[in-house]
Amino acid sequence: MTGGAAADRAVADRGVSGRTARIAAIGDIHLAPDAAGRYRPAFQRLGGVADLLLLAGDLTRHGTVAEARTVAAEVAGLDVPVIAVLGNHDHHDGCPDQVADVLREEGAVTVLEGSSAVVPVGGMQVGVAGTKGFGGGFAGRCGSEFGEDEMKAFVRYSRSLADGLRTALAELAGCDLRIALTHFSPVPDTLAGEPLEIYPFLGSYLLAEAVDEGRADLAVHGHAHAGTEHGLTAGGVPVRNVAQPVVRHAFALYELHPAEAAGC
Amino acid sequence: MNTADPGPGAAGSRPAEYRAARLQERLAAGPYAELALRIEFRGDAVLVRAVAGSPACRSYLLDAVAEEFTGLRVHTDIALADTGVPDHPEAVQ
Repeated sequence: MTGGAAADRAVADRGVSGRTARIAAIGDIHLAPDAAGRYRPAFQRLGGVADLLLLAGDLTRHGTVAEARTVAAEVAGLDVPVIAVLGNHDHHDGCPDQVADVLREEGAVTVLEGSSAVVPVGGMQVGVAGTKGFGGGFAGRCGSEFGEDEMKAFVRYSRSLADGLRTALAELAGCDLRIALTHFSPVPDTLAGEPLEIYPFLGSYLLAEAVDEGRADLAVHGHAHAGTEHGLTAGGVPVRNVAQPVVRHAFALYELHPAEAAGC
Repeated sequence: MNTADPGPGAAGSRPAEYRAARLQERLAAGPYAELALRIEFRGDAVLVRAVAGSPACRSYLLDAVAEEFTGLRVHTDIALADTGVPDHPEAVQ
């Protein structure tokens, strides 16, 4: 269900009391020049309902510079900081660094890959650590570094990105709230609805290990269009799949409350 | 492989499951880079589900499905993505 100004006020009212961070998140918006402006009207209302916007990858269709420019225009000049990771679609054209540069320079987006950012929210420090992540599967049903070079490279790549997330989360140890932002999923829970056969291509338990070790308060991912929104890591961290076909809005909204005072 | 049971729509044409795989490859390589089309075989019918990002994308998907599954009974459920603002947040505990 969507709403107008009254709904904005209702959402805003819930978010202003106490120490609350209001997180908007969306992934898999797959923009291109022929879809320019599709999300802009909703994004322009973010200032009333959220403190920051997270983009969970697959922002473009093919990862071209022209598509990246469409994404940048969609989020440029918003009232909230925008933090993103790229997805597999954003790598397709072979120029993910250029895509990231366009988002940074034309959209003022903070693009993370094995890195972190801290946003001040109402006297709190909200830290976001991000990586695209990769596949490989989930504990007990996953690939391993064995056999052909291609298989070893597949698993090593996934492990290296998960290690980047672990390092980035460690940088946020003193923050009031820590959010892990990925494109691929850290848990199988949020893949429910996808064919079981493709789970190894949708995420990796290595990401969940990093999320748990980094004591994240929330993990947000995209990628699984037919999945479900809610999941939980083995360590008890809430996971949310914000792929657009799952949340069925321009973004999902989450309120987070820090357990105790801290600082980055 | 059981070549005696090639699946629905096999008579006089490529087996349906290969046509489904070819459709998915074609859509992935196409202008919308669509990777999330769900294709299921139910009896002698084909069910196709997806969420399209725009009316033009939906039209493109419907045309491609009809073309690839010519001669088969096809049911489609291709919704348009809703880009509205949610009316309430979730309080994550």
